[in-house]
Amino acid sequence: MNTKEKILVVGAGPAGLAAAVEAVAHGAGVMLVDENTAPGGQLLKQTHKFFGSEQHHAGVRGIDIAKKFLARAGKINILLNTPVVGIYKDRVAMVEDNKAMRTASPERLILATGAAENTLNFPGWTLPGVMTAGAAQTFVNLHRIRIGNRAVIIGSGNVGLIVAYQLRQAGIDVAAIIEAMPQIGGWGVHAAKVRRIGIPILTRHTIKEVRGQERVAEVVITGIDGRFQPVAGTERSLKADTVLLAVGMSPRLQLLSMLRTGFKWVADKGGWLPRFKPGMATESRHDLFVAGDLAGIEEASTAIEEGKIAGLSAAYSLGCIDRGVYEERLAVYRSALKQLRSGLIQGPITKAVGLKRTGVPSRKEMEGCPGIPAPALLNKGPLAIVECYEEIPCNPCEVRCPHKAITVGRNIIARPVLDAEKCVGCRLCIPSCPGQAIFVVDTTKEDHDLVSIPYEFYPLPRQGDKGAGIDRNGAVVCQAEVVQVQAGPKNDRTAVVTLSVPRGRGMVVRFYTRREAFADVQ
Amino acid sequence: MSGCKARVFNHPILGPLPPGETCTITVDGEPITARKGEPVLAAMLAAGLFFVRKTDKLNEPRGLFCGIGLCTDCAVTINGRPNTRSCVTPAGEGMVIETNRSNV
Repeated sequence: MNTKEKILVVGAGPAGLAAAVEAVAHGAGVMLVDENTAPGGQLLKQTHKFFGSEQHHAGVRGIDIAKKFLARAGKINILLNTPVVGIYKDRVAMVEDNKAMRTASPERLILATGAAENTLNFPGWTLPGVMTAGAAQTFVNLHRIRIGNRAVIIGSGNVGLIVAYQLRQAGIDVAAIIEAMPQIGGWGVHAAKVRRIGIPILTRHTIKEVRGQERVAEVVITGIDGRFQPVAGTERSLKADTVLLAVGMSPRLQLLSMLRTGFKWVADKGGWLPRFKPGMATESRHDLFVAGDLAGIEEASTAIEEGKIAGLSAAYSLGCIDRGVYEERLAVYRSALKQLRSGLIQGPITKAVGLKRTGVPSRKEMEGCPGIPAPALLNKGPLAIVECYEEIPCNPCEVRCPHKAITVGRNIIARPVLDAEKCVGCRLCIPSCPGQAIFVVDTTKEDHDLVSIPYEFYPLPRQGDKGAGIDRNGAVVCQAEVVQVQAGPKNDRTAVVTLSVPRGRGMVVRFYTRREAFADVQ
Repeated sequence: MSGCKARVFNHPILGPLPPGETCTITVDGEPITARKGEPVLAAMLAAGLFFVRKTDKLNEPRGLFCGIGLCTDCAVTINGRPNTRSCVTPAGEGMVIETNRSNV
């Protein structure tokens, strides 16, 4: 570390990268270290589109957000393959390039070490094939290895739901997602995505035992009651060779624990967290900052904002900027954080109880959904059906619609409202929705309905293909013929598949398969 | 899982697997093909070796668990260095991996 690099940032995930970029922008010298072979942290594995507003990279895939950041971080000194192994009163120890121990004595230290996944112990948990959901995501999305043929996922939080979808995209079957609580842990929109592709979500279930010789072969689950006790007669065996543990994450506190810093228990943010101030400095040391999942398990978007705040505060404390600039920027970033934290991310539980219980909305929820046009209006022509039930801070649909038919408004946690008068059914909104919750339905044809759906799987259907229409429960309900497939670069890999289905099925069909399973359906 | 089927050659979001340099590493004397720079464990999984060691006391098979170098369940001996985490060690030409897989 040369004398100009006064700030050391540990961890080059979204929080650390944001901190480094921010500090450098204000004229501070920064050294960024990471134990991995490439910077980007968990962003490198997130193949799905992010929620939020445009400034929060809404609609952009995590992997692409990483690329944007790295382009901005171009001039920053990043030491990779360099784990930090100790923090002492006046110096930091690291193993440079995994080869030689060295120390650094920065004037400011920003820790962005992220989180590690929790485990669950049950008979058979050490068998090869049992792994954390993150391990599966890392090996499938980053190293491109199919870690198994068929998985059971324990835990229905956002990680379990999203990784289930990502396994299917890689051609790995998911037998079921099991969840101990009576309702789904993650967002309803993610649950809806996995239910319609045929993955069961079994609430009030837990794992009893995993059997196998040198690898998982059989997964035994059981229903549980309100006191988490097994219910007699509900035991079931699932054939699978992989079990994913998606049972929560905890901040990686080991380095922080070496210093006399205070901790506080916050159950819904991962347990023990460092005590820190609004400017992200720890309460105990003015020269030590924290950001990202280390400061509480949240999202990449909040990690980025916290990183910016930490970088800004560290630069200010070194005299790189004056107080006026500091307070103005700080207010902007804190306001962004507040907006991200409103609504679902850290807010009230959704009122859509059917959707939260099963991943499928109830009729009443659909009737009350402002993005779904009333049945009487469907005679008008093709219309967008925005099946967005939850108050998630997000607005790419509103931004995308060229006819101003979708309104979210200034407070982007509001559910989108569809104006059926303005909507012409152009389908541009379908690929814009990070939750894949928008469809276009045309019920005005004489002898069939048309449904356009988002589609992110291989093989892509082709015009003229004949297959089956699938409903929100993942059940085959009718025959379906593919009349059009749009998969241009503007879709950013979310193809739009238009299906011709029997009259009356337009508001029922939400997915498609080529499998011959429809043979015995009318 | 057999070797070919284990690699994700084409992916709806990630696209086609980019052509990369391969190298040969040996696992307990047997050569396997690795993509240069990928973790040793990825190459082993692609070759169908889904467990990497047996535990000392009870001879139980262990393999991929956390995938990011935290749990050490994937530790093997690489180029003579024992207890090396195979999930975060990049494969290089001629690397020698030794495990106790065949211990009875």
